[in-house]
Amino acid sequence: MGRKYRILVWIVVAGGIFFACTKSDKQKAPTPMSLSYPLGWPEPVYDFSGNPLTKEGFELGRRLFYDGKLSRDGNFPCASCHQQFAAFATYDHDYSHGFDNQFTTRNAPGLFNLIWMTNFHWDGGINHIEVQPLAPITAENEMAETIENVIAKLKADPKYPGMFAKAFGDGEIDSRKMLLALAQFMGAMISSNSKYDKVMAGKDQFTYDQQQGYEVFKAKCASCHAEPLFTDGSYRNNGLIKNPFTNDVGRMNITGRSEDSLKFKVPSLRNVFLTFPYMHDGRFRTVTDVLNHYSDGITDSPTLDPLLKNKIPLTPEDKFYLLEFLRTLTDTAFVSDKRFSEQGEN
Amino acid sequence: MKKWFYLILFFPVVVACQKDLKDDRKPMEVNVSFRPVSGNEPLEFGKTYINALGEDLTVTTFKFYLHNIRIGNYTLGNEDHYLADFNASPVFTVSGVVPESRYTEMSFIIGVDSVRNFSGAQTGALDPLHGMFWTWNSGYIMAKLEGHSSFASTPGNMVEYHIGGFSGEQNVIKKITLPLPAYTPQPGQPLSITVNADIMKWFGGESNISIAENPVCMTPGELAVKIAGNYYNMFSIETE
Repeated sequence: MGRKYRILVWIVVAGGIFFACTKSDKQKAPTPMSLSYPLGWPEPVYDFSGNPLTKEGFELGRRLFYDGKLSRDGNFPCASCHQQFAAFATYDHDYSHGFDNQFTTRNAPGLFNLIWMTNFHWDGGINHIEVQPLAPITAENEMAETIENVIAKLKADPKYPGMFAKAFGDGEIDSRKMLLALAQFMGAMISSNSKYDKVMAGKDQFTYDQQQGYEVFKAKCASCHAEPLFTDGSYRNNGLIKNPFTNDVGRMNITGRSEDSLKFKVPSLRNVFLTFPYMHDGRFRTVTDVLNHYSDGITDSPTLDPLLKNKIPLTPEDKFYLLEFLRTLTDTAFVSDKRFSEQGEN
Repeated sequence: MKKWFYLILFFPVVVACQKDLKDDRKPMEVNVSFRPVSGNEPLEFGKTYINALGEDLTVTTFKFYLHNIRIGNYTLGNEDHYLADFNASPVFTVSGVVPESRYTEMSFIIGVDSVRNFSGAQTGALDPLHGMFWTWNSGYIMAKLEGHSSFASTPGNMVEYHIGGFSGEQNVIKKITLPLPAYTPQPGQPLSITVNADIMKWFGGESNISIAENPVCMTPGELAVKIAGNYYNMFSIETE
């Protein structure tokens, strides 16, 4: 009886060693990563359910974001138009530079808080964060590449196969994995640490001027630029004359409906002082220009937003205080967060 | 003794758990092959054809998405979507095994299921690398026909019909049902069905589509719905 028992124990131990050793040949599971955002914010639209957020996925997405390989001539990574110090907009540019000395046809928006958006781009043509990168990658005047070529370059790169395996397990690199990694990186970019946020959390106080500005903001701006995201995500005609060079009709390009003519997505005002110039075509250089447009410049048209029929009356004091308040939306921690920066070669 | 007891005990469980057809009928292999044609002849890329309005067309690309390919109520194939790409191969075949029977109709849905048009990054037949996904207005191109025509006033005389749209009035996804000609199942012999897809039908039918007036369709909307209304009728089953 004792001898049979001992043999059984050895069999179990040997089996354990066998399985432990074979398991180490498989890829280690990626490390889950968590995101935090302030209490009281709405539920994100993108919940990573089909694309669990992991350290390896995030780092792969980050490398892809800064990699010129995703463009035809290597000169146009995502980061060439989406610059961290400009809250991931293009600093000081109405249109951005693309392949072969071409320009884009719309102003690059800042990238942050994307997981709260249902659609992307000024006309909302992109219906899911995961498929957004396909547009600039394949646009002839932007990154000018084909998905096929990008995947081939990634497969031939010394670093990517290992990074893809660590993030998504064994198997071929394909467009889906690349897009999931980019979605993890971009989805993790949350801007919620401005002075405004600290005040809302009870950790700081507005100055007198900032508080006055906040009151004006709530009364005159918040119907469209609603807190805490500083946009309600809707498409509106805010009284801009149609751009005579691009003839951009905005949302109507996507829905085909005439009632959507000249409607563009309400952008978030977070980091607004970093993302000049303003509007879908960058026609306004300064925030003051924008305020003057709302107080005096609105052009009527059949699709003009009802809230702007009488413009937005703003006194010079209102405008001064608003500027002070809007400055509190600059999130220095976000734009200097090394986790979202290009990493050194490693 | 104990061994036999357990064997007998578990035998019905094993049999019941088999994933075979819960059916007394024999299995029958079915092959459905889609073949591009122009009128009465097989479609050749690079050859010039004339449509009902007398306009010439040389075809360079022809492909479309299919899903839910069925014989009777039985779905064929293991994938959830298929891309019938006639540039990749002259015939596109989907196979499956169904209970032997005299089926009277087959069906399939032309296009990509609407939900897949807004669920983010997809792979396999739905990989955007196949050039069938609009990058600036998210959604799949359900059917694509490209070529050249002297009647097209576009650069390079190009003709490009990229037909998509998955919601509301723009929806072009459609179930196509085709009656099957009568047949007698032969033991051990697969049922082979050839479905012709006639590109000429894109130009006439519910609406007349003129290359001169509309050499290009690149967005969902009214024109796409019209063209799709025509191409729903492009399928017919080849009879011997």
